[in-house]
Amino acid sequence: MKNQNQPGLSPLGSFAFLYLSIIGVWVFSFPREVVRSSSYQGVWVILFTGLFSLVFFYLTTKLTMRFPRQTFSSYIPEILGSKRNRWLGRLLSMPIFIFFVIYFLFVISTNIRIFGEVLVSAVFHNTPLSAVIIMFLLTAIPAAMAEPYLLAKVNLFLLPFTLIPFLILFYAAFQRGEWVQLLPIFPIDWSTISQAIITVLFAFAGYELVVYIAAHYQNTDKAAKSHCFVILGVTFTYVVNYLSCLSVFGMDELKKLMWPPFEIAKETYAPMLLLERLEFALLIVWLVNVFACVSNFFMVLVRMIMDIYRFPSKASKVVTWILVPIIYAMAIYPKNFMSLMVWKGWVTMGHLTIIGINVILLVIAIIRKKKGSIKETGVEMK
Amino acid sequence: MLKRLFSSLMVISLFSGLLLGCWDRQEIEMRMAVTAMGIDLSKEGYKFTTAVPIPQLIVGGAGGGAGEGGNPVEFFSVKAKNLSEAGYKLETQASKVRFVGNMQVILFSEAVARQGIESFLDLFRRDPEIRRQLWPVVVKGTAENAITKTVTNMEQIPTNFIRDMLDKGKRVETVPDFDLGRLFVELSSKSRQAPLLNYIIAEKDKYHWEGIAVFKRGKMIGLLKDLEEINVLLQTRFGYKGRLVMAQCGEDHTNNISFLPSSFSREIKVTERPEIQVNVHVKGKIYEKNCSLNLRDEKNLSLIEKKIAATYKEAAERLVRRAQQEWKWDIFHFGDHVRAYHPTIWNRDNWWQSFPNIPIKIDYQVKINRIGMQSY
Amino acid sequence: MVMDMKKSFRFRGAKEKKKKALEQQFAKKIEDKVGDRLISREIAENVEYIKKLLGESGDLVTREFYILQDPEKKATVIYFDELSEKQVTQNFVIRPLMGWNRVDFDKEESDLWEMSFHTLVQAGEVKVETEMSKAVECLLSGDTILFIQGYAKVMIIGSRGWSGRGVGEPRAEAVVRGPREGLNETLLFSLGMIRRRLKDPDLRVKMYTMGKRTKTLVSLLYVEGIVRPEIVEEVENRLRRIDIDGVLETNYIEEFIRDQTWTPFPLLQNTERPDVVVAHLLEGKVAILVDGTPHALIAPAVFTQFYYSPEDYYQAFEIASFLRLIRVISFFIALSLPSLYIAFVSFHPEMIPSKLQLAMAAGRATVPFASIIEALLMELSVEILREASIRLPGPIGPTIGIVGALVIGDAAVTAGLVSPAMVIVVGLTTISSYANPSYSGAISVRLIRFPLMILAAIFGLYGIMLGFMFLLLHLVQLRSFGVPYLAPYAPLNPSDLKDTLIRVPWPWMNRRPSFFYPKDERRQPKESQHDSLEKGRQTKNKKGEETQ
Repeated sequence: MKNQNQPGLSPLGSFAFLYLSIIGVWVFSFPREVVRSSSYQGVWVILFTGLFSLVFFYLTTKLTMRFPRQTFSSYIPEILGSKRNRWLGRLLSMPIFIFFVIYFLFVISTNIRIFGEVLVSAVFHNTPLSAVIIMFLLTAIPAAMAEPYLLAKVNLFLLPFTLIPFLILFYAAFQRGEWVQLLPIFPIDWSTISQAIITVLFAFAGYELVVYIAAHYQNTDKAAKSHCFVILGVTFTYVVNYLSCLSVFGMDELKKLMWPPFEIAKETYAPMLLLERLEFALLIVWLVNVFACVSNFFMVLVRMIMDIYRFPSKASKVVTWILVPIIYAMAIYPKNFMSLMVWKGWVTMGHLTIIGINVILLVIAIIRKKKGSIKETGVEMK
Repeated sequence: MLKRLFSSLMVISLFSGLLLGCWDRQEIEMRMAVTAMGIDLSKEGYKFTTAVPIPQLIVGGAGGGAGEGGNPVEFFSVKAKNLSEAGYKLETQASKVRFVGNMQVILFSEAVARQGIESFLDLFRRDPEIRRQLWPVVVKGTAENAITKTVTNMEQIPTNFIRDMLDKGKRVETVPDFDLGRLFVELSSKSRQAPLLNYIIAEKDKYHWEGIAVFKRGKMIGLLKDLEEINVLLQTRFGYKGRLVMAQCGEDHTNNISFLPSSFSREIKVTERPEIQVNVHVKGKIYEKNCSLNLRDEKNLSLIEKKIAATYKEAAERLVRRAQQEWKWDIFHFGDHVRAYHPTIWNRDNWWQSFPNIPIKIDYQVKINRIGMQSY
Repeated sequence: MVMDMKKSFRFRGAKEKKKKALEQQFAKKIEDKVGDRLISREIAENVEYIKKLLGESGDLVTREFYILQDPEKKATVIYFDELSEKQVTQNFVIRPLMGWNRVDFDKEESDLWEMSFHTLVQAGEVKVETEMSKAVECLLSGDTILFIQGYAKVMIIGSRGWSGRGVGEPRAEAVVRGPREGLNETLLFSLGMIRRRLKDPDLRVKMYTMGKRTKTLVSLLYVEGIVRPEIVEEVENRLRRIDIDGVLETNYIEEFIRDQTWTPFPLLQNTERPDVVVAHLLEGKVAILVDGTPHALIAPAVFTQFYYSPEDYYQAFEIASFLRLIRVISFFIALSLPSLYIAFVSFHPEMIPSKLQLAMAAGRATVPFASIIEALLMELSVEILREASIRLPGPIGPTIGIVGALVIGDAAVTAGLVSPAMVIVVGLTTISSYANPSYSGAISVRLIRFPLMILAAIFGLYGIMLGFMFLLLHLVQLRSFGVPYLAPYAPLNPSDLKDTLIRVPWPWMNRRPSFFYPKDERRQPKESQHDSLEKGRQTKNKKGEETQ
């Protein structure tokens, strides 16, 4: 039966989808990395990185708004190619697609691996990492096969739960935090900040998904506003996370901690609650976040591959099952924590490259006056 | 077809997981929950004593009452070079799996504390099971005796007595809130480095909070017993209200007036030299009065206020003298304040070297806002 | 899919043959047996045929007699004993025909058939048919048929009437405040109850006969002008596709027409309360009633409605909201408490307060099983008890249930087989699952609990959380006749939130739930009902003052 309202992402749905895609597992190590790269200037670093991301997110949004109802796999060839020989566009855009696929694979596997590492090092000391990862992947499979608007609904549903860790963080900062630990934030040291932005940028990776998901918006015109809120929300989240960790631990201790938000829950004393120790509760609720992030990326990856090769929609299951072992192998590959950090560096590089590609594409599209229209094409809405 | 394959795969993996897995499944009764650990010096290195409660003997009902049957707590003592070796040796003596997630108190004997406690902290940091909220304390004599010899009547598990006592003290702000997490932060921070652990004396049937053990980095350098000095320290460093303060109000020593602070504020000023000026404002009520002074008289009230302020100030001066001359160590966290608000001074001087020579002034202003249920 | 194709290719021949044979067997229904045979002029032939067709059935009553007005004409009345109202047949068919009162009759001028049809047979519901199949069908439904010698037609006299149960209180959906009537096994009776509550000319009742052999009457109810036409169309389509030999209960239909087969969650609601049926019809849903069962089906259904009791709308709104909150809590307890117990006991004892931890360890000291086995054992025995207490005869049922639970629980604890904490957990879980007003909703929770327990035994809280994620993904994908199952939470519509966890007072609920896409959106006129109520109250007060 057809539906009266077209199933698509509402602005709130797209907010939830992108917000949860950006805030994945990164939050766990985020305060430490900020402090390591910028000592007391962390707040500025996060704010400036947020601003930086806002600008590029806006540009990416502009690009997607030029081609409403089209995913990037249909508009990139259009921008690069010409009407006479379409194959040229496809040929030129192939490297970009391949890059996207590899980048997405990296993001997914790093996310799963880091969360697995947190779990294994904090709770499941004897459980093999592979078991934890397999369980996680198996649960993510139905999500990867889901329709985009359904997954956005799931995200919307999970959004309130991701606020729980923040309540714990707020509570901890209120209970144990000291102002003295946050200071001094002046004078601003520009060279440190500019270097730190590059290292912190990884935490803002994830809004690239918009190049696919924008095609499924109910209303593309309203996108810019909700995207703005996404970056604001993410920045706010990171600032809260960073400040509460810093106020409780101070800079020197923060540098030593592996997963600061986890430790902060250990510090918190909850006399009124049923639970005596909050850290594992926090970890489990955080699972929601990581799950949403991984399944969003996974779903977009599957759809992307299907779009590129023009598979019928039934093939999503096959594609998903083919990807599962690849992701598993990639997640299990890094030898130890240190090599995992190297991977994270690659994610940052990939993120930067994708920003660059999007900006270049936008410039080309403006110069060549390429523009999509709803009538012209693309993805039929299901 | 695929759906069936998928679902059967799910089921198979679930059940194989159940059969092969459960790697971390460790039933609650199979865990040996360590509630306290004591660390003493010994010839080979250290001697570790742990207290493990026996659930059946503690909880009435299912296992029968504790009664005369025996001590509801089991003790294990091992000699080892470090904590991990101690843990390993402990396993050889026990029938259950060692579980330290429930540890509430770590007792360092004074000798260990004076030698330095930093070497133990690494394992505490690494092991995710260890609580950051557990209480590290220093005990007089040996920790082994403190754990094994004391049988408290108020609490079935003796070491829980210590935890409860300190928890209560933390709540009413009479003992420094210095748990393991605070200890970590203190020792990591470049501008702090002065842990204050609670100092406890074990008696036959109870534990006794004696004072505060003052540390220079990981080493204990002194013991603060005087209640007035502790008051000053709690106020200037932690911002606590502090405990009861007494001032003489008649001719005799028995004629005293007791003042109970109810609110407190402090401001720390640092000049360029540096020179530290602390202004403390205390508000509170008269708790007890054993002299004939009439409190309805404004003049008398301000007289008492001044007397109490003088008592405070005297103690503060004593404490500052001790810190600067005896210990030569910044136990007030003034250094931290300087780092936060005057980073240039912090970067210019070597705080720890210059601290003994920095002029420190602590001024008190006391206000009495209530006199209790009696009208004069 | 590929394998499917290959398989079918290989076995096509044999399979097709078998299929055909089965189809043929299935198609041997009454209609096909009778065919389009017409009624004969010879009465004996007809009677003989019917007797033979029905296999000389013992409860078939045939009465042959001569009509008084024309003694040459023989007539026969046939009906099923106890299926039809004998009074009707005797008093208003046989008696007038056999000459209870004399009516002038001229053989030459008037026709005997016309005469009997118009004057003699005094029943209210009479029709004339010429086909044998119709006659047999009506006979089987409880009507009486009348043949008259020399006429190739049959008179069917409506005398359906069988003894049924009176109006009873709905057992599974008891309320403290609200109507106590339940629907009845007799469809028309139930329809009457609904009509009595909904005197709307727009109420549409469509009748179907379903079941090749049972010939069960099924009716589809909806209110035109409220319900979305597409939903009715879809329900009708799905109903029409059903091809089965018998329909004895609404579940036969439910399993045919629901959107997804593989789900533990009920995608249609069933109820035995006429007031609930009317309430749902007013929200823009359709109801399906089946003859022979007092349970009506409501479609489409959303997840939350299984946690609403009809009483929520009959009680004061604050109380209703509080009760809904209680039900939500009990839902989560029933779903996850045993698995949480397993997770805490086996994986994360440090999370529970240390005093409780000691108590639990002491309780479990004698238990020889792992917590998962302990929990499964207890849960299973409670399920058995629950099932047994339904079967146990009448009044002793609940007693035995309680005694069984108490005795077994206590004995198990003293024997050291299970820990006291486990008994508490099981007790709480069972009671919580009874707090659910809908039986079909509660039973799905009982089912999901077990996989969650297994997950908890493998991965502790991590497993439980993954299980919840899986459940959420499943729930989001479910649809009931095009309506998202998780509505109104996803998709979120602020105006629908008035009747969710919190039920606002009736004057504020001026719209119907939008997720059923009703054609007529408003329950109440646009102007603020609340204001007009206030006004009304004021004028009333004034009047009161005047009279005083």
